[in-house]
Amino acid sequence: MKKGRWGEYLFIYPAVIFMLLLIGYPLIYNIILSFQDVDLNSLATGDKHFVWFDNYKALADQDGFGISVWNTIVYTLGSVVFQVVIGFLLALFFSMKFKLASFLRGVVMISWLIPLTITALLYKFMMGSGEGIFNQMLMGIGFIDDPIQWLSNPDIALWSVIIANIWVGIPFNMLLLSTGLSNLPEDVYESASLDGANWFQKLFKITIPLLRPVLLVVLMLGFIYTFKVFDLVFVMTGGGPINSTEVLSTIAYRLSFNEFQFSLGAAAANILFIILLFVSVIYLFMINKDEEA
Amino acid sequence: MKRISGLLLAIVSLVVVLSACSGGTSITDDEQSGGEGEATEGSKDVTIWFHYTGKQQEEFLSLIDEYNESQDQYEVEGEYVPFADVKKQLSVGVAGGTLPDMALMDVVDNAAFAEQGVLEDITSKVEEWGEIDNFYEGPVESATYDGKYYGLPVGSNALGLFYNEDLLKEAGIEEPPTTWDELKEDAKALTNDDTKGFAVSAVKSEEGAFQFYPFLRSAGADYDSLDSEGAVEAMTLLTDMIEEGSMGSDVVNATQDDLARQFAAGKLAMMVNGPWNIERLKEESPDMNFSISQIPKDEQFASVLGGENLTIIKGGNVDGAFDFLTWFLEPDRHETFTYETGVFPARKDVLENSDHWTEDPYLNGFVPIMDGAVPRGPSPQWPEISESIQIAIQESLTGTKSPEEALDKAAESVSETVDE
Repeated sequence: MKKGRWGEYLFIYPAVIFMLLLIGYPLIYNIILSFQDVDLNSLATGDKHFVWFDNYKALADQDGFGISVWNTIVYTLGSVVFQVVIGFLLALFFSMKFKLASFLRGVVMISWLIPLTITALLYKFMMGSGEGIFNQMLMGIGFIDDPIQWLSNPDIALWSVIIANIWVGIPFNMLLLSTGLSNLPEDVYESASLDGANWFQKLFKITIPLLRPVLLVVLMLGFIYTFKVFDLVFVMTGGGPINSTEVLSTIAYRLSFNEFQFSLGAAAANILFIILLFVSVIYLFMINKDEEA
Repeated sequence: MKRISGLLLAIVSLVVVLSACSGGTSITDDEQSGGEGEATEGSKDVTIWFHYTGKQQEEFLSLIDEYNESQDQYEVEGEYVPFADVKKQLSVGVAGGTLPDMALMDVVDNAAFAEQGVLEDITSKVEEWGEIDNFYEGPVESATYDGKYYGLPVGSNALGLFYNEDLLKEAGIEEPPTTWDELKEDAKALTNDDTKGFAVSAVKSEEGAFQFYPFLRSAGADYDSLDSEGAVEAMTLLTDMIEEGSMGSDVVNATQDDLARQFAAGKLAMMVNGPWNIERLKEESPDMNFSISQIPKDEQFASVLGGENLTIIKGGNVDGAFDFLTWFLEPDRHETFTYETGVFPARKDVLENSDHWTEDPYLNGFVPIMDGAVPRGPSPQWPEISESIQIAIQESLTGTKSPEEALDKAAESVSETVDE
């Protein structure tokens, strides 16, 4: 960028103003809100005095907050790891150019097209402990003797929601990785074949290193997308049983709109935001480095 | 250079945003005071936010039209807000100064909104009106806070015991259970591979607390005595039934709608549910014979009150809103509206002078129940109290804690909440 070309910045101002209004304003408003003491009463009277970090301290003492942070992390890592691995395997599978490959790939996309609320209701139904199809099938093949309490056992419920989310996320991962795979140069594989490399060697020495940028994008997007989960958890368990599936977004929603503690809710949402911001910065940093390289 | 100009851009942006922020707040304040000023001038328009759906919505909107045609002084307009969004919309409305003049709300939320200063105190108007003694005590209590009226009940419901007559007959049970011991015994006899004997909804939402309340009150306990012997007995009853297998352990994740679905499919012999599910059961399983009786008791029969109150928003068109409210609650109109939509009237004189409810084979089961139905709380901190109860129910029913431990903890957090 040369000096003295400020005129050029005029062209990006529409986009900047747009972002400031629609993204910047709510973000900053939320941060300010989390430092004030605001409920319905003070919203009406306008008496919003600052209490600074009191809300964050109160939040830390809140029953179920600690576990919700932990749950969010487990939920995200558990979902993303399985989504990427299974998505990658499917992408490899469909990259073998057999008949119907593209048709079947389209069919797999269906689970991604269904509205998340519907998926949540379906899984809630399928994971019912008595009549649910999961238990019926597992008991039918003799894999288990007693029905699994998918959503009503506090030790299992989070993993049940993760299973539903893995199912939802696989197609998205598969699609991105498929695109990445189809862009890989063929000649590298050809010369590797000539040198006598086997399938696994090609996979670990060629495919995965070459796919690194795509894999990074997929991991980061998956992380960001999963970390702010709301609808799936809210519909499937409502955060229960007890607090076993409570995540940051559901606790923020409950505090704000159920208990009218807007400032506490804003504080919870900000913690979610700060973690995501941190991850996004790492992501941007890595993208930059890749582009420079 | 790239860095520096980027930084400059960021700083400029931040300043713009911050000034936009403070500007926004003052605009809000202006709008709000402006709105209030306007309203006191004897304005004509009355907007109502309501969450009625289906048949109730049709009836309500046609009544609004009828009211508008009957007089020239006020013009009422109904705006639909989905039930799940009512509290959110009202909060946003307070923040943005865009509130209606009236809002329909769940009975359990009325006290909280009154305490938060959103609702108009209509005590003097209600006293002048002089009809309040014709209403049931429970519903009226739900609309009061600190001894003052902040709304009027417009429709009520309660929870009762739904039982599948065919399944009871098959199991050789002639009469539905009336005591907790009978309930335990019958539920066990009704349970087999396909069917569970009994269920309540113990989901982690207001529904869970709602369903537990009749048991709590039947044992002589209340939300402020969760560590009492009665409360522990109530919790032990439900926990035992799960341990014995006559109630499915997934009730901790089952909403009242889920229960109705299982009941309609014949997977559930008895359940606790409300009159709003009667029509649906008749539709989904026309061949099933079911009936409704009192929820089995410990010390006395008890039930919990649900329903809606119409409230008037502070600073709105209070005169117009109250005029519509009293018109809407005139006995004949109230009778038609509540009966046509399958709920119970909030007015005693309506229920006593009408045979709609007593002659309906299903609704008549609720007539004695309505007599003993009490509101939850009422307390402005109900959402927090309710959450403590919900957690205790889930801890006990999943076996994470014993009924005593779970309730002791809940009692402690309730007393903290109330003392705040």
